[in-house]
Amino acid sequence: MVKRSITIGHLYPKQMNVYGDMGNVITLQYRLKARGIDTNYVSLDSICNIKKSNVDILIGGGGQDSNQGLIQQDLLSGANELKQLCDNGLVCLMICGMYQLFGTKFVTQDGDELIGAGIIDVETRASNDRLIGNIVVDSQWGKMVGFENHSGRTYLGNAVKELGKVIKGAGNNGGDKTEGCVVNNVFGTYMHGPVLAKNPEFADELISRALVQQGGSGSLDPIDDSLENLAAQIARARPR
Amino acid sequence: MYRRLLIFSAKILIKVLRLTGTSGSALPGRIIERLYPNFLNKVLKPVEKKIVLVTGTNGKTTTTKMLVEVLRGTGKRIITNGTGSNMTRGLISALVEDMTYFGNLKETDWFIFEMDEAYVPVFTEKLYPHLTLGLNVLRDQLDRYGEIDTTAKYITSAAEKSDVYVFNQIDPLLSRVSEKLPSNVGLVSFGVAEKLFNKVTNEQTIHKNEVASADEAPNVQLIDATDIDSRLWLTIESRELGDRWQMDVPLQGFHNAVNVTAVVAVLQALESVKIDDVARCLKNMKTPFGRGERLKVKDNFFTVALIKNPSGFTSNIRTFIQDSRPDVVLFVINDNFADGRDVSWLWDVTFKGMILAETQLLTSGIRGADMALRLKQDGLKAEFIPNVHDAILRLTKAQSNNVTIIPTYTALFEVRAELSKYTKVANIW
Repeated sequence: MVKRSITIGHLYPKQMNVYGDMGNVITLQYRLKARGIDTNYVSLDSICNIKKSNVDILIGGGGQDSNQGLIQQDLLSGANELKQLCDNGLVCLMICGMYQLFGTKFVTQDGDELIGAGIIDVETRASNDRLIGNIVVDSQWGKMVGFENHSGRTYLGNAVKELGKVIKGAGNNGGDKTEGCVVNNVFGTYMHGPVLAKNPEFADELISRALVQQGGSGSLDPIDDSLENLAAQIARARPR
Repeated sequence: MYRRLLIFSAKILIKVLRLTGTSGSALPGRIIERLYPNFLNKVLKPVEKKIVLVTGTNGKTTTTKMLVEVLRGTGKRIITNGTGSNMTRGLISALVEDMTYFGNLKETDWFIFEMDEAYVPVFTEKLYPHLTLGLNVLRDQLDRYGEIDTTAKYITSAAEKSDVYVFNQIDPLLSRVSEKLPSNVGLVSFGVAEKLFNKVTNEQTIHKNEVASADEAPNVQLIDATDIDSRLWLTIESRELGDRWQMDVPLQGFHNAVNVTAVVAVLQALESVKIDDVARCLKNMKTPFGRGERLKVKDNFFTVALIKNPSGFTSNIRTFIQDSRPDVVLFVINDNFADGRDVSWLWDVTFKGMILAETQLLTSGIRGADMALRLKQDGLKAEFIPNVHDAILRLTKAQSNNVTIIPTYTALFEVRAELSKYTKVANIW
């Protein structure tokens, strides 16, 4: 059997990487290694490097408002190429700030419209108060738990499916009970935590999809997740 | 009259709380805060030019303690809130406790207040301090305040109203604050020599960016720092005074070497102290509780090192695990409001390669499972003991003379309560 190998591309690790978002990469590396699958880690300062690095899973995190400005131009310049990769099934996990930037637009409080990468049909509106706290979401991959910390309110386009329904917390916009989105193999979410660490089923979903994209089997050997599940169970029971 | 009566009652209350063994830090402050909201402005306005604010995300308590130690050691009369109680209530309590029963302030040279970043703009709304010290802006309790940039804004709000802004030159955010201040604010910078840059942990280095580099050397610079036998041996240079000094302090870790440098910079700005006094006064100071304090438990030594954010955690791992090589390490992780509800930051810390495989690792606290999981992902096996009481009990039975306990803020109080069953733990207040 051919040795399986996955390349994790970390998009803008210097600018967009807060609240332990690096932990999503760490979790993937850990879970791949536990299955004997090789991992490569590629730090991506520019979106043009995704294709030539043969990235299988693209990870993006949150960032300060000031940092979002720094990367916006690069993101827009490579948006078409990235859109093509995503349409062809590139597996992406975009958290918070990068989730917003993957959308079509961001409307500031003054009503100005900033253009997003347009990878997914969601839009975000600025707001004064931050939505901060533990969040629990009912999803296809179980009751997911994370920590949200955002002022933007994100609204899904008509054809866009949410990642899950909010059980506790605010989610996309604090109104419609949706949290995150799934478009093809692109996942967007406001959940830090880091989200993959305490939601092992969801982490494995990303890995499986990436293996299937390579033309192989997406099946994964079970590993001992008792500590992951215990940590998640404790986190779900914590106050907002 | 109303104010005097209130202060009189509060002072009695503090005395009663003390007698009953309660640490009376917050309660009297809370009462006055409710009944007399303008108390601080009223009392401090006439002496505002004697106020020194110590702010930043890491090292406030230790730095404040050092400043007070030196100033008191040179005969100055000081009022301070050096108990980690760094918002309105803590300040009120510190003042009331020192006041006469008639509600008057005694003649005081300096008011040295450590202050929570988020509280700084509130405090400086009407009060214009003499000096603001910006230690660092590291990722601390971000879920409370939103973003790091917000914290930098908070510190700006105090710096622009001060006569002097003393700041950490290697912290990019604090450096940027210094560039935006009106010209009447005097600037004094402190920093570290370039050869020490690889020892700096700040928000930038943790995310693999550069240390802020400046065109010119800071006013006060750390030239050398070495940890020997649980003490720091330092060489510090002042550009203005054109001299180098050597001193040793009973603290550990490079972050504390930077804190001592900050202390020298503040004292230089206050123009009140000779460097020899600094060395003399700091030589025998006691470590503030939980900031790397060594406690004797049944003939064995336990070191307790508080963590609040990834940078502090990383510094503590270097100092109290990598360098001190303990046999057992206990991490106690809580997620109460004062700790920050979000524990994501545990994933901003690297453990791989920092801890010897033979070190026994235990985790405890509300989110001890998260900590055990984090270690597991870095290839380190840890045992999760949910109850802090059980975890400390285990440590006392470990028969090790070299134990490190790393708690978050509220966990520190639980650890302290448990340890006090075995040893005399100094009263924090």
